[in-house]
Order: sequence, then C-alpha cells, then structure tokens
Amino acid sequence: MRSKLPTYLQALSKEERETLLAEVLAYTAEITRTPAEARLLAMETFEAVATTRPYDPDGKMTLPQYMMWVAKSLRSNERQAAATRKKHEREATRDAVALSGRSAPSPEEQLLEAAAARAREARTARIMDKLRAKLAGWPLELRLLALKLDDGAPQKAREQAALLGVHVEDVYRAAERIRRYLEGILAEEEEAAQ
Amino acid sequence: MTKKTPEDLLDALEEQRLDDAMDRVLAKTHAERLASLREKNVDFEAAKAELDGWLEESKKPAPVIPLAPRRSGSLRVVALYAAAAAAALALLGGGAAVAVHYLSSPEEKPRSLPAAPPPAARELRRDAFARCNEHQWGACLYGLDQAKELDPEGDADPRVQEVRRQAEAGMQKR
Repeated sequence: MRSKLPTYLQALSKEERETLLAEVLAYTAEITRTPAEARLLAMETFEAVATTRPYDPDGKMTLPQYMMWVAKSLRSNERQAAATRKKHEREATRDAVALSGRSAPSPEEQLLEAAAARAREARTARIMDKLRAKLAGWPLELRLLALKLDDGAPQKAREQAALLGVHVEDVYRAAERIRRYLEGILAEEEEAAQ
Repeated sequence: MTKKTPEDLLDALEEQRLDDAMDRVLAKTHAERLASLREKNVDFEAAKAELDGWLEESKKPAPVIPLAPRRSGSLRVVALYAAAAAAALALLGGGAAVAVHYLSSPEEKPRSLPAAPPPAARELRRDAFARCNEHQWGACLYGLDQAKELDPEGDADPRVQEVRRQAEAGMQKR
C-alpha cells in the first residue's frame, strides 16, 4: 500500500521538518496580518505541495523557496478573488443601469461615460499628487515611486537598489512606506465617496 | 511612462512586498526566524504540533474502499446461480420483473463511500478570513457561521475562534 504523502515531505527528518516549517511560517507571517492567518496559510501550503502543487526536486528551486512561492501564489489568488468580487459588485450596479431597456447607449449615456472616464483620470492624478505630497520628506521613496510608475524600469528590489545606489533593505523600507501611505489615501478616498 | 491607476500601483507594491519578504526570510537564520515568529505572536509550537498531526495522518495508507459488498464463497455461488436463473427468466419474457427485483435488491447494492469532510466549509472560511481583512465584519461572521453549519468541529479551531473574536469586536466598534 502506498502512502498519500510525497517522498520529498515524507523523507524529511524531524529537524528538517521544523526548519522547513519555520521558513514557511516566517514567510506567511510576513505576508498576512494575523497569526491565525499565517498558520492557516502555512498549513494550506503544506497541503497544496503534498497534493495539487507537487514539488519537482530536479527543478530550479529548493523546497523552501518553492513552498514560499506556493504560499505567495495562494495569497495572491485570495487577493485577486477579493478584488474580482469588488469589481463584479461595481459591474453589477452598472449592468443593472445598462440593462434598463436599450442595447446601444444613448448620446447622453455616452457623455456620462466620457465624464466618468475623465473623473477616473482625475482621481488617479489626485491620489498620485496626494501620495507625492505625503512622501515629500522622503527622497528615496519619491525616486522609487517614479521607478514603480515606469513600466520600463526594473521592478526587482535588488535591481532597483543598484539603480538608486542604496542598500536593498532601504528599498524594502521605502516600498513599504509607499504602500502604507497609498493604502491610507485610498481608504480616505473610499470613506469620502461613501 | 504609462498611466497606472493607484490600484495598479498598489498591486505592484504588494507583489514586490511578497517577493521582498521571501528574500528576507530566506536570508535569515533559523534562530532569527523563530525570533521573528515570537515577535509576531505566532505560536510555532502549536503550528509544529498541527503539522506533525497532519503529517502522521497523511502517512497513513489511503483506505481501500470496496466497490461491492464482500460475500462468502457459498453465498457468491448461490448469488451467481440466482442471477443466471433470473436472467433466463427474463429472456423467457416473463421474468424481467424478477431480474430487476433481484438486481435492485438492497442487499446487493454497493456500499456507499464514507462521508468526506465538507469541502465548501474551508472555502467559506477562507472567504470569511479575506472579508475580515477588509474589515467587512458582518460578511466575515456570516461566512464563519455558514462554515460552522457545514463543519461544526472546524469552528472550534483556535484560528477560526481568533478571527471570530476580531470580527465580533469589529462589529461592536461600529
């Protein structure tokens, strides 16, 4: 009779297992908000690697790297699902209006849609201005923001650090500050819109 | 330079955060990782016990589920003769009902598979956790309650209880 557990997990010694768990859990604790979520995601990662996302020992990644990559992927899927749900809720409201009778939009509706597009552009500009204003005292953050907004610029922290002439840890901190400030501004915008 | 929306930028920053965290964790020693878990109030020992339990469970061989009931040798011969007789009757035109009755006899039905844990409960909990993260406390509690209906035992999990407490506290603050 064959065990359900793949060899690369079954063959781990107690110490190796503990080390692997600490690696995965330290990662999930970094990318989630609560200890409960961190543990849940770590366990889901082990389950996924044992079943639906098997590890290839001959591949490029080590087992800990691969498991973190799986955890990241599970986390991203969760975020995308939440974003998709919000988008669908918005679209459902819009569809309800669009399905009110006619198939082609009337000139008035076209004007309204154009106005909405302009409003979206204005909102983007306003939020970016607010973000730059908040980051005024942080020159590295402003330079990093410019890189993040440039599709042609490197997006890996190490490459950005080399380009900006700083240590990679500084880039981590700067990116985190930009993210925090932007989240705050978006929350304010959402509150103001309600 | 393209016009990224604030949400695009946030997604890119989040993606980078996940990658950066990976580099940071990989660069740490085992002791440093344990220290960072303590700082974040993550109970490593409890997680270890949980993982050990799961591994033990997973190491057990998969159960063999018989597709048909076992019968003793003599019963099997009797059943074979009975089936042949029923088929012959059916062929003769008058025994179809007998054959159908025999084949659909409750004793001969394959055993049903053991009840699997409800797969929807985990999905509901995952969704509820996501809602909690978005501070949608009502939706979070609703999801946890739905999951509890499907899987009452799972609700006792300390992680679920913690999220439930957060959601209830969030509701009270409103």
